[in-house]
Amino acid sequence: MKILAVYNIKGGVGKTATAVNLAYLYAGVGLRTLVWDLDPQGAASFYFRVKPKIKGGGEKMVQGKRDLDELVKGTDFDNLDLLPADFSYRHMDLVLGEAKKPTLRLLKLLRPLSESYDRVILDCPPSISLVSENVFRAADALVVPMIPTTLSVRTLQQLVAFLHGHDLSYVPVLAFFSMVDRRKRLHLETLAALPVEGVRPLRAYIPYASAVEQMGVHRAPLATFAPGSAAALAYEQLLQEIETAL
Amino acid sequence: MDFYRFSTADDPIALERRMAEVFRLKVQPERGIRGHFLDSFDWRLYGSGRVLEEEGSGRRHRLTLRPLGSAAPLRVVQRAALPRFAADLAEGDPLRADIGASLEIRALLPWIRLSGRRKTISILDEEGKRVLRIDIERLRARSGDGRKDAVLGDWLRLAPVRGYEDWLERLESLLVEVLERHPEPLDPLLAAAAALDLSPGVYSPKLDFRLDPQERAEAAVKRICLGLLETLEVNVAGARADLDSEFLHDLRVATRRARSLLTQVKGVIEPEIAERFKDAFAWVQKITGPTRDMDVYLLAYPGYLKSLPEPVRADLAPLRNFLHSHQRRESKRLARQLGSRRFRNLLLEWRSILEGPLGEPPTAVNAPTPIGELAGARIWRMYRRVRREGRAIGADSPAAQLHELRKSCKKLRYLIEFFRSLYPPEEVGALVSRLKGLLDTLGAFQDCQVQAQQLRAYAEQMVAEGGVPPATLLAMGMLVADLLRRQAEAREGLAQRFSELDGAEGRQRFEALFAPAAPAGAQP
Repeated sequence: MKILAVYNIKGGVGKTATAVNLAYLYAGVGLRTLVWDLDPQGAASFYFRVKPKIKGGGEKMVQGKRDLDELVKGTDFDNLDLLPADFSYRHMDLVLGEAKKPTLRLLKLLRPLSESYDRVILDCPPSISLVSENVFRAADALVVPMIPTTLSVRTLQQLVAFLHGHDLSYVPVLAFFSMVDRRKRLHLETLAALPVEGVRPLRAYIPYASAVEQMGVHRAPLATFAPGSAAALAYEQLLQEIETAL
Repeated sequence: MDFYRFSTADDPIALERRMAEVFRLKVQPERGIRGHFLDSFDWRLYGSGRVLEEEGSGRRHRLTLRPLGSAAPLRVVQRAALPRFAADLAEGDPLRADIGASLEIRALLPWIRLSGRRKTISILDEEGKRVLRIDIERLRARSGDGRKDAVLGDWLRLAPVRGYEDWLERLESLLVEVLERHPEPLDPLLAAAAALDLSPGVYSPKLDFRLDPQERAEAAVKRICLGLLETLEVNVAGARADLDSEFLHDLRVATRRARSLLTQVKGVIEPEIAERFKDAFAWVQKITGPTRDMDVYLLAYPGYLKSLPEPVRADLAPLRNFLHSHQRRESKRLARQLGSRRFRNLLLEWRSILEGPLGEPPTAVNAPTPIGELAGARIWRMYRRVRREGRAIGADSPAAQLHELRKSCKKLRYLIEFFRSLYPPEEVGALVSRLKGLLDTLGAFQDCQVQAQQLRAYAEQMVAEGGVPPATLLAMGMLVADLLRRQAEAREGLAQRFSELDGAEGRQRFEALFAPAAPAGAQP
């Protein structure tokens, strides 16, 4: 089981679209895949048409009183399951803080699933918190989508500094650009160079495309309604590069 | 159980009508299906409680691995080609790991061809999410060889979605309400197998004869020979077609056992007949030997590669090509022999003798002896021979002497296995496993020696055939060195293994089970 965390300090950079589309592609090649929607907003759950609610709430789950196994929901796709979001996740920091070894809690919860899944994709909420530190300690790699702007590069530097300061430099940071508009000069200029130390830049980038936005209308992964679109192909290339990096 | 067979063609129509009243449905148009149930000759996936289904054609095959009786897949993959062996799938292919541990070196055979029509209906919840998948199928099955076919009727396949199992319960109660009875729960694999007279999981090359110690030896021996003949016969077609190397292997083992039985338990079958068939079985061993040799080297090949340092591995490829081309040639020759009149008549004649009446009056000296008596005496004698030969072996004994010991051990093992039902299972099991331990060590010793020798012979042959690069010969030299090193290791373990049989405790166990009772009045 490999755990990928789709993460960025900033919100609105295409994290959920990345998590959902990568998961769908992984499942498509036959790997049993689980998406864990950690964001209380529940966008990934929405895309899979699953109610953002877990039995007993997030607190019991984090405390280990309920096995993750019981909370998993099958999606409409083969080999692909979802652990839905829950509104109570907004207090997850507090609950984690009360646990023993608070930064390793998520990893401990995930371990029993290692026989059932080949890939786990964590769709993480933005900001740096105890939740994100848990995610960093659980993940085999961080997949970081970013909009090609100066500010994005700055938040990436913040992430690397955080990892460095918490003895987490060993976690590979795989960064790529999403929502790229090739008509914008700034985007092209930022694309040309990603000069952040400690980051492995991926060559694939996701173009800004209405098809990606349509995911909210279709409530389904991109490749189910726009296969062969530029964005769908870009996610495939992204997956290849991530697998090579793993 | 997620599968049900409808008893009438009206049932699915009634069910669908009622479902439309109660649930929110998404109905996909009916379409034709074509596929297979795949498993090894000895049904290893079935034996592990799983079913591998394939659907598709050309360069699109959808493979579904699922538990027997369940429509919730363990894994679903799309592949451009149907794998024949687990090893045909790419190294990281998740399906390879799933099925490889069960299949090992056995090929996947298209046991059952399925065709028919399917209508997929999804029950949706208020979010528009599928919470239960329902397939209504009309199926027809045909055996893999195309000889038999059968109508399987109308089926209901219910694939529950994880976390939404309550919808399955709701549908099941609706089903009973509509049909006014519970339909027959049955996996279509089992229905198809029954309709085509297939018996999943029945084949085993292992010996399992239930004997009565008072049974006349001739009857018992003929029964064992008949069992061995059946194993031999069922493997002929697969060995001729070279589906995988185990067919020929099992065929050869059954032949060797039969020959060993005729040799070791003398005077039970009429001597003239026994001699004739011993020769006939020796001929079968001879004609099957060259192909088996090539199979052995091809099976050993992945291990050879691993034993070499990474940079040298690619140099070995010409050896694999050499083995493949010679294996194909030998296998073609073998197919002709196994299809020959001589071979077919041999099996027919042997069967008619074994199924014929017992000799009345007996035509051989030991024929009327109770098998319990005869078996113990033969096993005890062979055990003493193994001890004698083993004790004569020292650190410098030639390989040929170890080979003789191995042959005797094999004979002893066969004897015990033929007659094991005459003895307490646990005690006899313990002795067989000690014997196996010794045989493994002797086998490792001899295999390494033979392979080292044979690889040198192949190297010469490859040079004679021309075009072999020197790097390949160097890599083969490294293999030979490694084999000789492993041979020396095996020799070191030999004394320990042998002492488990030869020691006082081992001897007592053998004596207690097999030694004939001392005649009255004899000294203890």
